[in-house]
Amino acid sequence: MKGIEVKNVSKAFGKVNALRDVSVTFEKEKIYGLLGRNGAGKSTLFNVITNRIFPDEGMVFIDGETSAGNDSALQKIFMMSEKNYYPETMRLSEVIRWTREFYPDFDTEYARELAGRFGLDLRKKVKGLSTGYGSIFKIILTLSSNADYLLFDEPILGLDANHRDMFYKILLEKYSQNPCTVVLSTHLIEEVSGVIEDVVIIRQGEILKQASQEELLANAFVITGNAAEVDRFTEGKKILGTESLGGFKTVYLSEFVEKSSLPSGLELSKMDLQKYFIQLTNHEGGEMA
Amino acid sequence: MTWKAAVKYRLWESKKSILTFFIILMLLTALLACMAVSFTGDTGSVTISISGMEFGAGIFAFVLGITSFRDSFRLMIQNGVSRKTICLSMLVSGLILSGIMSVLCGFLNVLGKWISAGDSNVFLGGAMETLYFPRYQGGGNGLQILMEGILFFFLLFAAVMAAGYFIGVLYYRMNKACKIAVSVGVPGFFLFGLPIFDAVVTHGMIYRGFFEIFQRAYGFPTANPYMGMLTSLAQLLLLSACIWLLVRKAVIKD
Repeated sequence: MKGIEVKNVSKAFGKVNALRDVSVTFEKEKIYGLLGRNGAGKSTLFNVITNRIFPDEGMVFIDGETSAGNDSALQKIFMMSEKNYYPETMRLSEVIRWTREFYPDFDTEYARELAGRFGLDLRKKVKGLSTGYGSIFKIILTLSSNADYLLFDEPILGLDANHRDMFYKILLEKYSQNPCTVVLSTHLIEEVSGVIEDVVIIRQGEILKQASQEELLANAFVITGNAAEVDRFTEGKKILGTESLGGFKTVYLSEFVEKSSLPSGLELSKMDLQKYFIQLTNHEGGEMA
Repeated sequence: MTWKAAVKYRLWESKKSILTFFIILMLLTALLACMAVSFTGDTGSVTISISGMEFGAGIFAFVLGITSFRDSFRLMIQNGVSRKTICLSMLVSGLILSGIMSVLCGFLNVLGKWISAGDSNVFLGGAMETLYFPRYQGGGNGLQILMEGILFFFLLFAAVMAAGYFIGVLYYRMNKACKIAVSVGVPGFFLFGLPIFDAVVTHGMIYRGFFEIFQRAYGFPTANPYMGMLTSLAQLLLLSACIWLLVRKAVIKD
């Protein structure tokens, strides 16, 4: 099968279960959002996929090949890490040169062009980069790698609004010219919701949902109005969460609601991805200990 | 070919430090040779012998091995290189670097001999003539000394570098408490514990035994450098296996 297949992967760090029996598939030529709160297990999942750490149980397959100890499978992935793994004293141009050595399809010209667009001086050393420019540099490397699978771990860390906007534009531009699988791991949902097609929601090391954004939000509604009326209407329905302010109440539902069935005085609206995520991950406790 | 890129990177990474080291060593050889020649020229009755630059190079190879694991491991893992390839690149680059270093040492010995040629009171030679003196007594065959020296030190540097790699990877794999325990415990044992035990309890038997084994392993009593080469080769193979066992389960650390 083509794509990244994660099968029954579990990983614990001491007493903390970072991943629990995770099975997830990232298909070819799609843009995914791997959404989860801090400590949900997003980076651990990426690190297992790229064989940087070993799972306690389970396997990862890249286009049907196991990724463990397999150069040809690993070379199909480029992961932009949140952390820096390049020698601090290396110049950015040298990092580009060496990335080109390991990824033969790496586009040096494109990397230089992107550096120009972001205003990044490639003569600088890795240690001389601010958090934001460190992220920009890693984004440039990832986009220029031309690998089949691009994994971005918190790509917009430290980026200002202009650079974030530029990143999303360039990502879509790149994807339209050269389709590949992109997985964006982030807890900043609102911004990525306009970019991603499919969503994988992870909480406390478990996959809660994997579906297309459209499918996920097709049955996600918000009912607002007088508390008593809202309670009456939503009784027996699948409730994700509630919010109250005085006599006014908002209920988040995860089932389809026919507008015509709504009593007068109540308001019905579609839920956006961020609200859906918040309600889903707030439910049963939220962040991992 | 990922392994070629990995080897290339490792060589590039070590290039600057090796060049700097050998330029210093070359200048030092030339300086010492000139000083020795001019000194004996003044007095005429003093014999000066300078040899063993190779041992400095050996220490350099060891330090290079110790310090070169962490950064290159992180860079290669970031670039989708498997641990198997990382290990292979360590071995191949170690052999290439050892080859370059032993040839450079051979060149320095030739340089030293050339500078001191014609002055019978000055001896500027390689470590081989000192270590295996009976074999090369009276000058021997120059080409034979050079070739055996290059081969001997090639294997010795490779083994020493592998020992450095092994310690580097071992430290990388250990947690903080383990690092402290090993850093204090191992030197403490060899510098204080064992010598005291040997002096008080075994009356020098342990160190004498070590010394004898070491001498035999390197073929000093029989003046046989090939015995030393075999020993270095065995060390290299053993250490390479140990390095693989450590690298295969190494994970990226923040």
